[in-house]
Amino acid sequence: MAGQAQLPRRIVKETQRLLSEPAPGISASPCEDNLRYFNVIILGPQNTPYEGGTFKLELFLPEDYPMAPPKVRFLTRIYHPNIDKLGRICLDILKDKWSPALQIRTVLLSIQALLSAPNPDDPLAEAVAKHWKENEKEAVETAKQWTLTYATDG
Amino acid sequence: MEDLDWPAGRSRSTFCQLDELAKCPICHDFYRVPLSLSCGHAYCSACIRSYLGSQELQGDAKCPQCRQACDSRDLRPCHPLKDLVEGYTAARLLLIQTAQLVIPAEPPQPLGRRMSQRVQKRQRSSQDEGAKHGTQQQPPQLVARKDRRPRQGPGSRETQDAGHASTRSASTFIDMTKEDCGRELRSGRAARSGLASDAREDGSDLDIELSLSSDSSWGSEPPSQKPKRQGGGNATQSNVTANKAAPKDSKLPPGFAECPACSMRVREALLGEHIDRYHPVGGNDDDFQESRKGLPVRKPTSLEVPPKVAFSMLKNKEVQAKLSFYGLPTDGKRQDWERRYNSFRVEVQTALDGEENVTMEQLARRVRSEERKIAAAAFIGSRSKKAEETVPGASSFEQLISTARARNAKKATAAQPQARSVPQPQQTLPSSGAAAQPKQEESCASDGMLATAAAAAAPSHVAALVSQGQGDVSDEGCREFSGQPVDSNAQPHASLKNGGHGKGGVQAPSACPGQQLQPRSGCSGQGQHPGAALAGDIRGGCEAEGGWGAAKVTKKAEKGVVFVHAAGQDMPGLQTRNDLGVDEVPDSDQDEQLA
Repeated sequence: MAGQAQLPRRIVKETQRLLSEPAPGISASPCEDNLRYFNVIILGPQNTPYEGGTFKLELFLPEDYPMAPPKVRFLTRIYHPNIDKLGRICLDILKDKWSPALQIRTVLLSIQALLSAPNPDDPLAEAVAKHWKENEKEAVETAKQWTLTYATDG
Repeated sequence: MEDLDWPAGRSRSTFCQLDELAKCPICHDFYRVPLSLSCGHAYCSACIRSYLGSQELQGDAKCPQCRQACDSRDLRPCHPLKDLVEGYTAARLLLIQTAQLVIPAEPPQPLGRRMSQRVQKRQRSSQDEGAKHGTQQQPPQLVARKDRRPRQGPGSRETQDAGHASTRSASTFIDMTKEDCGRELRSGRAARSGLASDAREDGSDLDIELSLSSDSSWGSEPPSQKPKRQGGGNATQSNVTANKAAPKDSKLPPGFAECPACSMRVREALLGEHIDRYHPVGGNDDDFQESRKGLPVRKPTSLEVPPKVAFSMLKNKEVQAKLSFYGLPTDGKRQDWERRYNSFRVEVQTALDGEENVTMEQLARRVRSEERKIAAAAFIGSRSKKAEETVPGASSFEQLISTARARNAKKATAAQPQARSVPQPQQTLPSSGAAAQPKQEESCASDGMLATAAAAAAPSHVAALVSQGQGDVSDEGCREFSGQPVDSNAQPHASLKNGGHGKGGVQAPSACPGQQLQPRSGCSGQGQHPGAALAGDIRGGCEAEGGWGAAKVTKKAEKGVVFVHAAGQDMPGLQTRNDLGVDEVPDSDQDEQLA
């Protein structure tokens, strides 16, 4: 493809590896017309309110990647204290804790881990975090409901 | 991907892990000029310097792996790692070849154990040999050290040794089938008669035989048969031994070719790689060493790292002055200038770290061409999906071209009965904007003359317009001068043919109404150079959908002036004409018809 020749080797390698050895529960494939843009699917981890859900995300590698972190956003609605209604994710490695030694795979694994371990003390969605802190059981129920509604096909 | 170089199977992951160890965590490529931080982690010079450069501006420089606070002043060259990676990458191809031959024959056994077995065996056998042959032979370590004249680092000898072993075993194998191999090795071993008895016990184990044979050749060679060019590195030696080990058949087995330089038999498919690796242009290492002695080598200290600049303190002109001081272009925005300066700084630092023998000018050129590549990639990346669909493969270009031609022909006959039949060469104007670089302007000079000639042939007001290189070239203007109904031929064309990238040419069908794509000589789907050739018609004031390849198209929509900067000016074989500068081309065919 025309653009591929110009892509940094690192991105090409990462893409190939993502496709050939996908991480469990994660699939990431580059968009055909922009190889810096990935369509990502993360399966809800087991023993979480997101279990059984299929969450779509978009991931974009900016021009100065890997010096700058990738931009990741949930496309599927999710009830989570660290993910707001626009799908933005509050995760330190996507911001100030980014390091060029990280890669797409590690970022997606971190997001998967974030689903398993919501952190209401560092919230992005205030209301959800409050709900989570005040009545975790109920919040988890809501999250399950949302998973059923938005992240489950059929 | 490198992973696929290794033979498939369960051992692949082990080899891949080995590859990973020799790679920089930032660029995921084999280390180039590795530097280590105070925490002990190592990165390529260019990678870590550019990362720390940006982080230090924020006062937050940390090791990318362990996040320990660090400083670019802590960076130290990591010689052992450098030697190790060089040795490994040099031996890698042969390792792969060996692995491809050996691994299918191996019993399914964890690789780690097998390797340790092999190493033990090898050590034992070389000890035995040492005992047998006494002083007359050359101990392997000595040879290794001799070969290693240029650089001596701790750890390098071991790599070298391993490199020799694999080099030899692989090259012995290169031109033989597996069965031949075993036989050959056994007979060779018998002939040399230097092997300890424990080697024979493992007659069936190809793997161990390999390492044994390679070891045995160290000791058992009579002095007269020693490789002549010891300074030539392991490659030369291995070639010599390979020749000896292989039976002197006059006929080459099918699929093999003889290397013209060392007359070693190599698989045809690998011949190119063999020549590149072992017979590089510029002679062997001996010659290189001599020439180094004879000529005063330019000291790398003549490279000076440009000072760190607090750009916020500088005015635009001062930044520009800094750039031009180092021979860097001053086009683009302020942001681009700063990035350019910083990447130049990193280049110089990397060159110093790697003790490269380059000049500041060469580095400046490197920065420039890197920048162009990135710009080209960014441009391509930002194209719309629709545009992307026009570039799926070379075969569809032809289809696109033919459809475009058919459509244009139809339009042309409808709009203008006497459609031109002879494609005219492009006529362009030199840059009137500041965008073009001096180099571009030089090569553009001849085009400028062409354009002036065209202008002379055109009616006067158009001539003025053309010679100014700007002005109103909107539809009305064209209609006015042509005196005919609006015809796309009379509309300004911004045709660009550039060397941006890729294979084959791109011919973008225009999406503007009333616009006509006119294939011209040299602008058809086949590029005249490795880059893309393209012809896109951009009508002033309408969307620049036809602009392709690695070109950046900006436009002043109101004026109808289209600036086209090609991104690949340095591409070899680039045609002088439309690869650069401003191409604002009122179609001159019409003018000539009128004249």
